[in-house]
Amino acid sequence: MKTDRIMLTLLCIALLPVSLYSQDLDALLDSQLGEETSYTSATFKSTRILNGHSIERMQEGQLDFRIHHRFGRLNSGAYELWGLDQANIHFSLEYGIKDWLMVGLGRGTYEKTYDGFIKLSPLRQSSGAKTMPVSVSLMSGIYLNSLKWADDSRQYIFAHRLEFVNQVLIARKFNQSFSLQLMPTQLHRNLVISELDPNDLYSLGAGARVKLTSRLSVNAEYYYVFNPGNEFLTTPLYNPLSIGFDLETGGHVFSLIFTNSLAMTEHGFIGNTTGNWLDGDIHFGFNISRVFAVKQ
Amino acid sequence: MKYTFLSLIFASAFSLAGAQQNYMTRDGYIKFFSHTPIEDITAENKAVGSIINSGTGEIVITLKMTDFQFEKKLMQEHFNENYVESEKFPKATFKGFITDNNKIDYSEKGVYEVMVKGDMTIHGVTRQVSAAGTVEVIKDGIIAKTSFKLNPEDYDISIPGVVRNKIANEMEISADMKYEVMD
Repeated sequence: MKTDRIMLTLLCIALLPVSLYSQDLDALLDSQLGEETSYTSATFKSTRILNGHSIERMQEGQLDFRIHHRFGRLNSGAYELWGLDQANIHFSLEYGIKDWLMVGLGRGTYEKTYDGFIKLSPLRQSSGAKTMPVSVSLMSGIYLNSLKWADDSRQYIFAHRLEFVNQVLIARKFNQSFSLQLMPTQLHRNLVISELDPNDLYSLGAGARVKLTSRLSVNAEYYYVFNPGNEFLTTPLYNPLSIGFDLETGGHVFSLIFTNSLAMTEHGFIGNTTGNWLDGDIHFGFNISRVFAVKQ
Repeated sequence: MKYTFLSLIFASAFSLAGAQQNYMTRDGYIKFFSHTPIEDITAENKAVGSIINSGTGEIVITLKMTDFQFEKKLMQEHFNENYVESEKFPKATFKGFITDNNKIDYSEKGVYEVMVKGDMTIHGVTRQVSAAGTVEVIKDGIIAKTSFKLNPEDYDISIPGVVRNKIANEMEISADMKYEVMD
C-alpha cells in the first residue's frame, strides 16, 4: 500500500513538467508575436468638430457629402421666428485621396463663397511599439468671394476676391470619452474694408468632445482671435464659440450646433463673427455628413 | 517493486520525450461573413498568430480585432469603435485542444479530420466552442482549416435595432492557417 502511494506521487511529479509546458504555449505565442503598435482611431466622429476642422480625414476612396445649415439669430424675435426664417447654407464634397490626404470643394451662402481645401495628416496618435501622444493634421484652404463688387468706382482685381487659411490641428484622444484639439490658425485676406483692418489675423482654436454614448457626443469649439481690438476695427468682431451634439447613425453623422458665427467656413467664422453670445446673437444650425465608399 | 519502479521511469521518460513539436503561424487567415437579404458583410484578418503543439494537441490562437479588413472603411471604423470596442478589448483569443490529436501522425503527410474544443474569448467574454476541422501535414509544417458559426450577441456585442436587419444573427467564421515548425 505504502509503495503504491509512493509510486503515485512519483508519477504525478513525473507528469508535472508536461502540464507546466502546455500552459506556457500562450506566453510563448505572445512573446513570439511581439509588441505591436495600435493607432488611435475616431478621435472625433467626423472631419469637423463643429464649424472648424478636426484632425480626422476621409479614408482613401471615401467621399463625404456635407450640408451645413445655419439659421438666423435667436434674438431676432417672433416675427423672424427666432431666426428660423433666415437660412444660410454651405455644401461640400470631400474626398480621401489617400488615408492621410483629403481634399474638399464647397460653396456657401456667406458672401457666395466658393472654397477648396486640402488636409494632410503626417502624424497619428499611437501606443504600443511606437508611441505618439498626439495626432497632427495640416489644413490649408482658399476662399473665393463671388459677390458682385459693391463699389463700381473702385478698381478691383480677381485677387481681391481671395482669402486663405492655414491651420495646424493637434489633437489627443485621452480616453474613450474625451478628446481635445488645439489649432493655431492663420487667416490672410487679400482685401479688407479699410486700412484699420489687418490683412492677417492669427488665432488659436480649441475644440473638445465628450462622448456620451457610443453614438452621441457633446462638442465645443472656440477660437481666440488675436485682433488689434474692436475699437480699431471697422466692424466689431467677436471670438467664435460653438457648442453642439454629434449624433451618428450608420453612414450619417448629424451635428446640432449653437454658435455666434453665421459663416461656416474658416475665413468667415474666424475673420467675421459679428455676433455676441451675451447679446443673444446665437445661431442654431446643423451639419449633415454622409459618407459613401467610392473605391473599394 | 523493482519492476514497477522501472516501468514508472520508463513511462515518465516516454511522456517527456514524445515527438512534441511546436508549429507556429503569424499570418493565419480568418474571415467572418454575415449574410442578410439586405446586405452581405465580409471581413478578413490576415495576421492571425497561433501555435499548435503536436504532442498534446494544444492550440492557442490570438488576433487583433483592428486587423479585420472590411471593404467599406466606415464599416471597419464602426466595427472597432461601436461594436467590438477594440480599444477596450484589442484581441480575441482561443485556447483549446485538438481532442483527437492521437490520430494525427505529424511525421506522415496526409489530411486528418479532427475536432477542436476550447475557450473562445471575444469582447471580454469567454465561451466554450467546439468545431470540426482538418489538419493537413505537409513538409515542415501543417495546414489547419475550420469553419463554424458564432453569434455576436453571445459575446455581449450589442447590435442596435436600427441596423439589426443588416447583420446576420450568426456569423460564419472560416479559418485557413499555415503553420511552420518552430525551432
